[in-house]
Formats: sequence, C-alpha cells, structure tokens
Amino acid sequence: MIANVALQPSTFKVDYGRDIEREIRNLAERIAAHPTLSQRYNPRWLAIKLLEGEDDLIQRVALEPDGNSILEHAAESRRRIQRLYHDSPDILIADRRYGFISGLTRQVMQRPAQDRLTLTDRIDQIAASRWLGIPIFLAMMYILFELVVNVSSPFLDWVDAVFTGPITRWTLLALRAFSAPDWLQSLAVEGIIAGVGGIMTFLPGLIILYIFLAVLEDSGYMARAAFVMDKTMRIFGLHGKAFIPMILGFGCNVPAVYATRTMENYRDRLLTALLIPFMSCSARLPVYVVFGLAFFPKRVSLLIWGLYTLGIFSALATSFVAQKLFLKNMPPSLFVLELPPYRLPTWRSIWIHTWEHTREFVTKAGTIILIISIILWILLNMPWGVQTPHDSWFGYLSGAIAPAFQPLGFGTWEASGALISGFVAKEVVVSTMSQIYVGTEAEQLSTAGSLREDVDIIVGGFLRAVAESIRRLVDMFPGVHVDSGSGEEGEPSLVVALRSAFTPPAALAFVVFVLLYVPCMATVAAIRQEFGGRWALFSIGYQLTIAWMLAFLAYHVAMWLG
Amino acid sequence: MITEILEALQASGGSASVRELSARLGVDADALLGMLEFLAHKGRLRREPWGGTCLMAEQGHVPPACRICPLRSMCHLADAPLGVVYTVVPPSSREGGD
Repeated sequence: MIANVALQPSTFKVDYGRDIEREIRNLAERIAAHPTLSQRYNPRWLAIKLLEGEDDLIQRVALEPDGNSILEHAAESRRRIQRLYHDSPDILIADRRYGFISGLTRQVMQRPAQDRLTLTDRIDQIAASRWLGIPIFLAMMYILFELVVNVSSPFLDWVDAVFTGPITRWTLLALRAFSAPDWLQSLAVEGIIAGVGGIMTFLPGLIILYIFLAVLEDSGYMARAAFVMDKTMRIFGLHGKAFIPMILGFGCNVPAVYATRTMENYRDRLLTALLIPFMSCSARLPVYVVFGLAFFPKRVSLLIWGLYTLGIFSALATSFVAQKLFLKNMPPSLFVLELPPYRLPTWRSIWIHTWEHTREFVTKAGTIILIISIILWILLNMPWGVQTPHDSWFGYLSGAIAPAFQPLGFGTWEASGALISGFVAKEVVVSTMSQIYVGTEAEQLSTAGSLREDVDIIVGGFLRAVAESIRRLVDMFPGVHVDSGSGEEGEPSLVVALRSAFTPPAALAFVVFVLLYVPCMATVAAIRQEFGGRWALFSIGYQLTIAWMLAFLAYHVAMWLG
Repeated sequence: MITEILEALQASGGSASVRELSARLGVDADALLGMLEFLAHKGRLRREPWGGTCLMAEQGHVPPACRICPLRSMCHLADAPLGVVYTVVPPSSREGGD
C-alpha cells in the first residue's frame, strides 16, 4: 500500500561558504525564473550541479530554450570561483560536503577509541610505526636468513651428496657401458653435473626463501615492509615512488628497472634505475650461502643480512650524494597507501607460490645454466688437449683480469673467471666455481659402489636431512637446544674446496664484490633499453668502481681485525 | 578536507597509509577512502595498484631483457600486489590543467 502523502522538500542545506553560496544563489535565481527547469528541478540543487560541471545535466539544460544563457552564467560563476580559490568548484564543493559529513558524524557518533582499532591497526601501530618499523623489518630479514641457512643447509649437503655420488656414478656407468669417449665423460661430469649440480645444491635454500616470502606476502607484511622502507628512502632524498622498484629489486633487478616507468620525472627514473643493482636480488643468495658456510659457518645469517643491508645503504648513500649534487629542488611526491589487512596465509597459496617458482628455477637450471655450463666446459678445454684449465682460453682470459683483484685478496684466475661468468647471471658464479674447483677429472672417478649405498645416500640422506633440519629449527628458539644425533655433518664439496682457495678476508671481499658489481646482462640490457647505451655503460662503470672500492675496504678492515 | 589531507600528507613526510591519515584527521578510514576515490575520479589523485606484477608483464608481454634472463623465476617479489597507492597529481600534470 502506498500512502498518499505529499513529500515536503527538505530545508536542510550544506553551507558552501560565502563566495560559493553567492554564486549558487545567483544561478539558482536564474534557474527559478526558467519555466521548465524550475518545474523539473530544485533550483539550488541544479545550480550546485552546474557549478560542479555535471555533464549529464549540462546536456539536458542545453536542450531547453534559453538553456545556453544559464550555462554561460554557470561557466562564468565557475571561472570566478576558480580565480578566487585557485581550485575548481567541484573540488571545493566536495571539500565542503566531506567536511560537513565529517563534522556531523563526529557530533552524532561516539565510538570508543578501542573499538575503532582493528587487529590490523594494532599490529600496524608497531610494525609500521616510524621508529619501530625499520628495526622490525631488519629483524624480519635476519629471521628469514636464519631460516634459509639453518633449515636448508642439511638438505644442501644431501643434494650435493646425491649429485656427487649416485648421479655421477650412474652417469659414468651408463657412458662407460656405451664406451663413450673420455671427452664426453668429462663433459658430463666436469661440465654438466658440476655446473648444474653445483647450483641445484642451493635449491633447498631457495625453496625455504620462497616459502617464507610467500608467507610474508600473503600475511600482508610485505606491504608494510615496503611502506617503512619508503619513509627511510625519503630521508635520503629518494623520490617517493622509488621504493616500489627498489623493493622489486630484492626479487629481480630486471622488472625493477622496468618498474621505474611509474615515475613521471626522467631524472628520478634514471637515478632509481642506477640504484637498483645495489639491491641484492635473490640470485646472489647462493653465493653468500656457499661463502658463509665455508668461512663464517657460525655467522652465515649475519653475513647475508649484513650484505643485504650494505646493498641498501650503498643505494641510499648514492642517492643522497646525487640529490645534493644534481637533483636539487625536486618537489617530493605525496601519496596515500591503502595497505591490505593482515591475514593468515593459506597453505594452498604458499604451495602455489613455492611450486611455481621452484619449477621455473629447475627448468632454467636445466636449460640456460646447462648451456652455460657446456660453454664454460668448452672454454676450459680449449685449445683442445690443454693440460690444465689455467692454460685454457677461459683461464687465459680470467688470468688477464685477475691482477685487478689482487688488492682485494682474490687475484686468482679462478675467482676472476667466476666473476666474468657471473655477468651472465649471478648464481652462475656458483656453478662456475663448482666446475673449476670441484669438477674432478672424470677418468679418475670410480664407478664402484652398490645400489644399496646409493639408496642410503638418496633416501636415508633425505630422512637424516629432515631430522637435522627440524633439530636446527627447534634450536632457533631461545633457550631450546636439541643434541645432534651423530654429531657428524657433511659439507658440500664446493664449500670444502673454497677453503683452500680463499682466506676469510678475501672471501668477505669477494661476496661484497658480488653484491655490488654489475648484477647480470639482463639488467644491463633493461637499463640500455630504458635509458640508452650511454647510461648502461655508466651503470657498469659505476657499479664496478663502487664494488671494487668497498671490497677493498672490506678486505683491509677484515685483515686489520684479524 | 582535501586541503587537510594534503597538509597531513606533508606533515607525515610525504607518504602515509590510509589508517595513519584517518587517525591524523580524525576521519573514519572508510570515509577517507571514499574521499580518496572521489579525488581519484576527479583527477586529483592517481590510483594505481602498488607493487603488483612487472609493468610490461602486466601488459601481456615478457620484457625483452627477461627473455635472456636465466633467472626469471627470481622475480618473486614482482608477483605480489601490495595494495593501492593514491598519488597526488601536481597541477602541471593534470589533464586540462583545471
């Protein structure tokens, strides 16, 4: 049933301020005098809508006789308001309206402060606060690396044992069964298994990294991490939007360089792109892990954490200097972030994230790193019949640049060679070192060993790795200690080999150099594409200079400290 | 209110979360989001997904440099949509310039 009640027009009005009200009044009077418009619309309402520039109503008024003169009046009113307030009437009207709503709700609604705070708000009061945000972020990074190192290292030993044991043995058995020539056996063992196996050893660590990052991402903390990073970057004069590509740089520098496209100003874009290579992409992690385990076994997490932090501060220091010298008086960008609420990550989401990235990593290791390993094996064996790798083409090229690294403590052709191949991609550094330092002569390897021993290495070794991993995980809790069952711990063969090739100060200088020198050719290609060849070359030169200087400093400070 | 938003942003060092800003202004966070959406609609703020995927990948093609990258799986962080960012559009950059 519909009541036959005449609705009374509301007398309520929002006060838009003296000047705007005068324009509304004048325009409303014109509308009220119009025979059709005054019948159809409330004159004040229509006047406000015309001042706001509502397209639909402007078109309707234009169709009315004498409508255009009302529109001209409205346009003149808009211009006057614009001149007076240096802002458009629609914004000014909305501003007043929102101000009124806000004031009204404050008067009529009373909510205890405690009720207004959601769980997300309460966590953010600490996790995203001005003073605690950065220490919490740094602590989270440290915990991440502790987990990566402690949980993954037993698996790391297991993968290494599987590659250097059963896989090598079975490959040799198969090749010798078909009377394969020596060179093919060498290619398989010294090239492919050493190269691809060398990098696959670090897959467990990357899986742990992927899992933990998926948890941080799904829980909503990653957004807070980026937010608190932004506040720090601003102190160092970085453009507000730089933090998006900089944070992406922790994953991979290449999309980070492309992400600078979100910045309007060319100089800001360029500066950010030149800083991105300082952000330690996850490809560098295997290098830190292997050197950490070899030389600083008790402080691997601290080493990795220190390197990531050094990368961030190198970028910030560069930005600070560049801002002082070249980018003065750049207006800061202002923005508001809508952060997602915290939530519990789902197993499914973590699994999907981890699986997709692991699968892609394995695929790449099976294709591109395989190809690089084969090319490197060829270069290490050319000219054909060369007696030692040092006399090979690769050895010759690496030896030529080795003196440049002498002041850094690692002026050997092997270390230089690993850095050259690292230009292709950073964890190729590990596979190259694996080929150079570990790639045992195929003909010296024995195929002796039983299937039972192999099964023990594969199955038993995995179970022992799981047990050891759990023990280490539990040990991470303060005040909890679980004794290691056997007390025996294997070490990846590369870790053992590196100890005879580097001193601890040289190892520290090497990882600092790996952190700071040119990330990979894909990043250089991205900088070239976005900013031209000149800046790509500048980036290479700048990165190499900073890397050399800080590695030199690290080496000599470490030597001094003993 | 819009002037207050800008002033509060300046006071917070240039960037703030919606919750921070709502606390500073004494406005409900949902109401503030409504204002921000309105300003974005009017071209005063630019609304963009924050973080998210690589811009070129978002447009449906692999960046040229990534084609030669053996470690594309490492673009992990690039997968994460981290929220929404409302950037203040400077008057010189506004369409039509008001």
